[in-house]
Amino acid sequence: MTKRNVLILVGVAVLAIAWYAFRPELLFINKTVNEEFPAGAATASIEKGPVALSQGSFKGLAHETKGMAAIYQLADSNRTLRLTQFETSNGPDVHVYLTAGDVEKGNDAVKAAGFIDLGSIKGNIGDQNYDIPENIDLSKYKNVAIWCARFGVNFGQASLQTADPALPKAKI
Amino acid sequence: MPDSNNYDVIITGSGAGGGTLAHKLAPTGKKILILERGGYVPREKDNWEARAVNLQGKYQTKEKWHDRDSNELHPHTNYYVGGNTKFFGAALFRLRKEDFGEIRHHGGISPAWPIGYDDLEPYYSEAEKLYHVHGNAGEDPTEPRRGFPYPHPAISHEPRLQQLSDDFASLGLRPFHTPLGIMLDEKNPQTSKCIRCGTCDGFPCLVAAKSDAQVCAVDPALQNPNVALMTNTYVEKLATDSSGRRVSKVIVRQNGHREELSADIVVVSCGAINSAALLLRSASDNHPSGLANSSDVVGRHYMGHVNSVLMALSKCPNPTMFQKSLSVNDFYFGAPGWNYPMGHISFVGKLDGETLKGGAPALTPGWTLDLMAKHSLDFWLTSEDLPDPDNRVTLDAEGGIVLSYKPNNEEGHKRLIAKLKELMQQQRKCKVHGHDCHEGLFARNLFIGQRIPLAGVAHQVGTVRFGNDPRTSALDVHCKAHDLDNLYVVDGSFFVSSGAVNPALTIMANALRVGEHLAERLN
Repeated sequence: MTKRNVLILVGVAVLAIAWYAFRPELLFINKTVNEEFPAGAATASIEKGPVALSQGSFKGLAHETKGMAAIYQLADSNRTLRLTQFETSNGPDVHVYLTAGDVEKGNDAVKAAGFIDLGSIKGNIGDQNYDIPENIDLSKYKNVAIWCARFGVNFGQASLQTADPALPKAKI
Repeated sequence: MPDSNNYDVIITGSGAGGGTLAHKLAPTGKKILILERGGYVPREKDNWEARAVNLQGKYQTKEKWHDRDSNELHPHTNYYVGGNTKFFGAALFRLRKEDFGEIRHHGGISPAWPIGYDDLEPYYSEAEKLYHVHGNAGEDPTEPRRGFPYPHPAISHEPRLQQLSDDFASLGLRPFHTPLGIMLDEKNPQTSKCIRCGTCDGFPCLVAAKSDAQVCAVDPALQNPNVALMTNTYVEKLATDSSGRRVSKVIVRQNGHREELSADIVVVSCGAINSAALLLRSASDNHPSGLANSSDVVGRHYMGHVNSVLMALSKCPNPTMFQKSLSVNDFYFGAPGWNYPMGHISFVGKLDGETLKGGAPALTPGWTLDLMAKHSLDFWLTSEDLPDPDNRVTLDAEGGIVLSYKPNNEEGHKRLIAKLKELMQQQRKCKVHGHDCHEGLFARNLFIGQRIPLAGVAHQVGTVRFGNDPRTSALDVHCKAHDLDNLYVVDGSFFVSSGAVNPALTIMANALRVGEHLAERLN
C-alpha cells in the first residue's frame, strides 16, 4: 500500500468519524411529530383527564428553540412531560432532560447539577410526550433542557413554574 | 369578579386574525382566553354536500342585517371556531409591494398604509409556514420580494387548467400557480392529508386538510396548558374603567348566561363588520360615538372587493376536480391603453349544478345547469374597491348591523372582464374537439357573469383602519386603539386599502406582527 493510499484511507476514516460526530445534515432535516395526550385524553375534557402541574416557555440557548413545556398529572396518576408548539434544531444524540440547575453546556456540568434523562427527542418539531419515571421529585428538577449529549450543549430550556389551576381549559 | 375570570389576554374571535394571534402568543405562557361566538363546525356528511352548503346555506349565520335602504341582508358569513377560514378557498396571497403605497385608480385614490411591504414580509413568511402555503416563487409577474421560498411546492394543474395555462402563456401572459393553503402532498398520495377533492372552496374540510385557522392555529394553541377557549360566547360589550383609557370588562353571553371577564390586553377580531359593530355598541360616556372612535372612522371605509364569478362555457368539458390552481396577475396594475389597476384573475372551486341553482339566472332548468357546470371554467375576478367613508357599518335602533355600500371603482373591473372575454376568444384549438370546440352549440365562449352581491362579505376589510394620525385612523401602527391603552384589533379591520387579492394571508401575517409586539409588551 502506498503512502498516498494510506493517507486517503485515513482521510476517509476521519471524514466518516467527523460526519458521525457532527451529523451536519441533521441541521437541514426536520423530524416532525404530532402526539396527542397520552391515552387519547381529549383537551376539551381536561378537567377529567390530565391536570397541568407546572409549565414554562422554551428559550433558545445553543439553537433557536420555541414552544411550551408542561408536566401533567394523568388520570392514572402517572406524570408526563408534554411539549407543545415545540420547535428546535435537529442534531446528533439529542435528549430531553429534566435538570436541577441552569446549565448551558458541559456533560460534566449537567451531571454535577443533576438531571433525569427522559429519553431521546422524538422529533425536533411538534407536540410530544415523555413519561416521567415514578419517584422523581419534581420540586428538585425545575427545568426542561433539550440536551445534545454528543457535544454537551443545551439547545434550549424551559423553566417550569406552577401551573395556574384556575384556568378553565375549555368551556364548550 | 372571581380571579378565574381574569386573564392576561382575551381574544374575541378565533378566525384568521384571532386564531393566528392565539397561536403566536401561546408559547409566552401567558394566560390566554379565546372567545368564539359559534361552536365547532359539526363534522358530518353535509360538510361536503353542495346542496347543504351552497344552496341551503346550512352553515351560514341566520342573522339578518340590513342595507342602507333597510332591505334585509342575509350575510354569507359563518360563526365557528376558525371563523370564516373554515369555509374559505385557501388562496393565501401576499399583497403586492405597491399596494402598501398610494395608487391612483380610475375611480380614485387607494391610500398608502402606515407600514410598508418590507415591514410585513417576515410575517408573511411566518404565516405561509403556519398555514402550509404551496406555491412557486418567481412565476407571478407582480409578486413582491420574498425572504423565503414557499414552504411547499405549488399545487399542480389538472389537464384542463394546464391547457388553459399554456394557452394564456402562448398569448404572452404569465399565468402562475395560485398560492394555496391545502395540505396536499402530491409526491406521497397515500399519506397526503388532502385528497384533492371538489368540495374545498366554500366548504368546511371534513379531513382537516385545509389550512384553516382552527386546524393550523386554534387547535395547536389549545394543546398548551395556558390557552383556553369559550365557544358559543358572544361578546356583548366592552366596558372601560373610569379613566376611559382601559378596557376593564368584557361582557359576554354564553348560552344565555351573562358573565364578566377581564384581561390586561383585550383583542377584538370578530371580522371587520362585527368588530366595528362591537366597538360601536360599546359606546359609553367616555366614548360617546363608540369605543376607540374619537376619530369617527370606526365602521367607515368598508371594503369587500369588486368581485365577479364568470363561467366560460365551451363544448369541451371541464372535468377538473380542484380548480383553484391557476391565477393571472398581468392586469393587476393595468394593461396597454389603460393605465389604471384592473385586478386579479383566478378561479373559484369547480361549480356544480346544485350550486348554480343558488345563483344562476333562473331561466335555465336544472339539467342545463348541470351541463353548464360540466363545461365551464369558473373564473373569479377581483378588483380593488376604494375606502369610501360612506360605505360603512352602523347599528340600527335594535343594535342590528346595517351595511351601507355603494360600489365604486368599477371601470377597471369591467375592463378586466372584457379582457378575459377577449382572451377566451383567442383560445387555441383543444385536443378533443379541434377547431370546433368553441363552435356549434356554443358558437363561442359564452359568459354568464355574476357580480357578487353585497351579502358576500368574505373579503370584508377596512372598518377600523390603522394609521399614524389619531384624527383619521382608529388604530395605531401596532393595531392598538389610539384612544385606549389595552385594546387591539387584528382582523381585516385595520386595512387602509383592499388591494385586489384575497386578504386572508395579510390578516394572518399582521396578527403575527401584532403578536410579536404583544409578546414583548407582556414580558
